[in-house]
Amino acid sequence: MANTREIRNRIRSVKNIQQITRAMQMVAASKLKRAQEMVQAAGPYAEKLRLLMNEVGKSASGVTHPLLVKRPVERVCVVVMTSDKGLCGAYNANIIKRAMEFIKSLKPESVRLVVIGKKANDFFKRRQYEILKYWPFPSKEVEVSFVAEVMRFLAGGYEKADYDKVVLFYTKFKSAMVTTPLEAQLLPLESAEADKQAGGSALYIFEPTAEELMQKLLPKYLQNQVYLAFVEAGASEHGSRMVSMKSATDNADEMIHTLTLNYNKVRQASITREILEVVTGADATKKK
Amino acid sequence: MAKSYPLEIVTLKRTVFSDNVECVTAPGGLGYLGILAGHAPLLTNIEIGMISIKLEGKSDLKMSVGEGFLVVTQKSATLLVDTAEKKEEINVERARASMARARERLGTKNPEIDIVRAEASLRRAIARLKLAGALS
Repeated sequence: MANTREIRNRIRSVKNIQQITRAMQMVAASKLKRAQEMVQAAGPYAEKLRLLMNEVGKSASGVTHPLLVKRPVERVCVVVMTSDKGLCGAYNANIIKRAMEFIKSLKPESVRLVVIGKKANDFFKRRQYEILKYWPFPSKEVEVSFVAEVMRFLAGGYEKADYDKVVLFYTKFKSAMVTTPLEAQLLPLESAEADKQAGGSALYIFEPTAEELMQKLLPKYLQNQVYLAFVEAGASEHGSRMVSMKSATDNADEMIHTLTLNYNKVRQASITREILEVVTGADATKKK
Repeated sequence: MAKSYPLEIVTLKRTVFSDNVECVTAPGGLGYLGILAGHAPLLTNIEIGMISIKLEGKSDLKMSVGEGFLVVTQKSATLLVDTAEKKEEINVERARASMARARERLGTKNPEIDIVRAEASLRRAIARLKLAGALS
């Protein structure tokens, strides 16, 4: 059995680690709260945009737009969205695993990789994948201009027929406990005509025309999809980090408990031994 | 007193305004237009620029907006825009910097530069600076 000093050192270092994990847990919790608010605040725009597209779609049937064109799929742009920082449990591993399964199902030469987040970049670089474009995951609030840049890059490549399909891998946020890695097709856009029931609500005046409005709506729709993915992924990251840091803190508690028990046992044993030595020593001198 | 109706301004990030207004003036796809209560249902796109909201019994509220759309129904109106900022929310330094950058880009005549983008960026910066009263 180890001596008391060694155990005491162990306890001290575990306590130090626990302090760090507890602090990280608290930081993640407050960041999660803000990120959750962002997810919720983004809801109205997404919903209203969808309604608007439906409305315009009814009057603008048969619009052609470069982002709607379906081509036989030869090259696929795979977008993988991870975090920049680690210590968030299996968050990054899960999304990368999901993406890898998809990538392996394709011919290697047909994959165009776009990575967001340092972790994905490191992963694919280490495996000698060719990376078309890399962005770090925004560390603060997700700016509209940044989302627009990502959107333009993806849409631009699609319009130039550099690839025939864009698939995004990101983590959908349900709650801090439940985050699911997801695969979502970004391009070609699934035609907005899907929801084209008996229209008849052509009451609206369109300015300039329904067709021209649709041309403007489609990129905005894509931009919104990308934005939603960013805020959901951000919330998922903080949620995962909070949960994993909480279990690390709890684990440390447990370790401290067993170590303390052990420490007391060892200490007691040495005290007993010392007493025994004194007693036997005293006995020995008495008998003489 | 003019009749009022509910107006909502929703950006990509959040709902920034929701109140009863008498009139809103916005840069539509075919030029500036003003919406009063009881306007016919209308769908139009919104250009980068400035909107002006007339509130009941208060002074006008002005905001700079990014690209988006305006939806007018029988009873209400909704503005869906990329961004919308009040005067006090504008970062003058940033707008100045982006105006300078856009001007420089447009000036170089480099074929690799996306003129549409640079122009949009310049328009955004000008709209912001105008509203902030910082345009010399």
